[in-house]
Amino acid sequence: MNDSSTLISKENLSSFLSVLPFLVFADNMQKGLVFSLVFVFALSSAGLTSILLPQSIDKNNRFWLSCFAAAAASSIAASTLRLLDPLLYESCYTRIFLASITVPVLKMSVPLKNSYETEKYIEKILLALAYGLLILIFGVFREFLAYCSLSTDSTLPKIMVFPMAGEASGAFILLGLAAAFVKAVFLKNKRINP
Amino acid sequence: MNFIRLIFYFSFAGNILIHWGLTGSREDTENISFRFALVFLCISSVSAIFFGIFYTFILCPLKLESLSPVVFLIFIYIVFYILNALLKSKNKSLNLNAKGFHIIMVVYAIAVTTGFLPIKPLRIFISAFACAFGALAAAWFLENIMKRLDLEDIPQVFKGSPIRLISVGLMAMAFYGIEISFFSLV
Repeated sequence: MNDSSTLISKENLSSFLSVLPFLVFADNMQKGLVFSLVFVFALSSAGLTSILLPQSIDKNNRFWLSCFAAAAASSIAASTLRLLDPLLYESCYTRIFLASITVPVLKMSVPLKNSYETEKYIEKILLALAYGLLILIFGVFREFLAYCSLSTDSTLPKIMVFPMAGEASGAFILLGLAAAFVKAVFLKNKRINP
Repeated sequence: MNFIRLIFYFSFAGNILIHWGLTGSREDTENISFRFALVFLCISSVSAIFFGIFYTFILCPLKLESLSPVVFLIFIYIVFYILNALLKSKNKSLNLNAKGFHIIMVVYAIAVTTGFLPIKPLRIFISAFACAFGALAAAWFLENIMKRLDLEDIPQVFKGSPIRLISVGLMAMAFYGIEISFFSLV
């Protein structure tokens, strides 16, 4: 993307774009919470597998095994959701599986080269957790904007006040406006503290 | 006639850009060559057929739909090793980067979208091909919009990712309109 400033690095941008399907689909608090939890679950599974696997295993195979752990984690999460709320499962289970192939999860699957990379690894974890939180907040924000209320029961009939916020197109536009706002704040800070 | 409707639906109205929010970065979209497009169309269509058949004949009857990601990852793993072996024979290597995985996500979306169709391999193949074509066309449209916007005097804060996301939103709105108009026909 043509970001003239260096506010967003290319790596972070690819991570953000891979999380975009969740942000677009999370049009209410429930979906936001589900995607957020699944994302964090898949991420921790991939990270733990990558750390706990013995060093004797080839690096390439360790990466793929961590990917499989993330995929298995999303499968377990989907099965649990099916038991808890079959309606919600029907509406979002295809997207749940995307969690295992998002860039932050795959980055966690890449094995550490040496112990000096631990700090970098912690940074990756924090950033990925921030994405999880972002999915939840964005779901809550969109539901509030669309219905002017928040509810944990998606079957309740509700009146839409601002329908665009509940649509995919509205999600993109809201994200664009949010990105512009964040960029404006960064640019202002940069001008004050060059 | 049904096939024409199906192609229209997957290419435009049912575009994965709207349904999945799978938009690539500018680097991803501005270097789409004919060769890349052809390879992408083939991989998407073939993987959708395999996934569709496996999903309908094995996962669904056994009520194991939740194993879809593991199955899909196994397919990807097989494709990765086949490609790697082919490239190694030509003294090249498969460089897996973030861009590569973005493509995998799009392929997954196509496979899942078309995998739920009634099982007819030709139907899945055509739908997946149209779906992949739709994704490429949307990326190409977006790239052209961005090139035109580069010539406009837009505010500094909107330059780059914000204007790109807003443009995608407006495109999605247009596609959504088409979907509402034609959904009943499919």
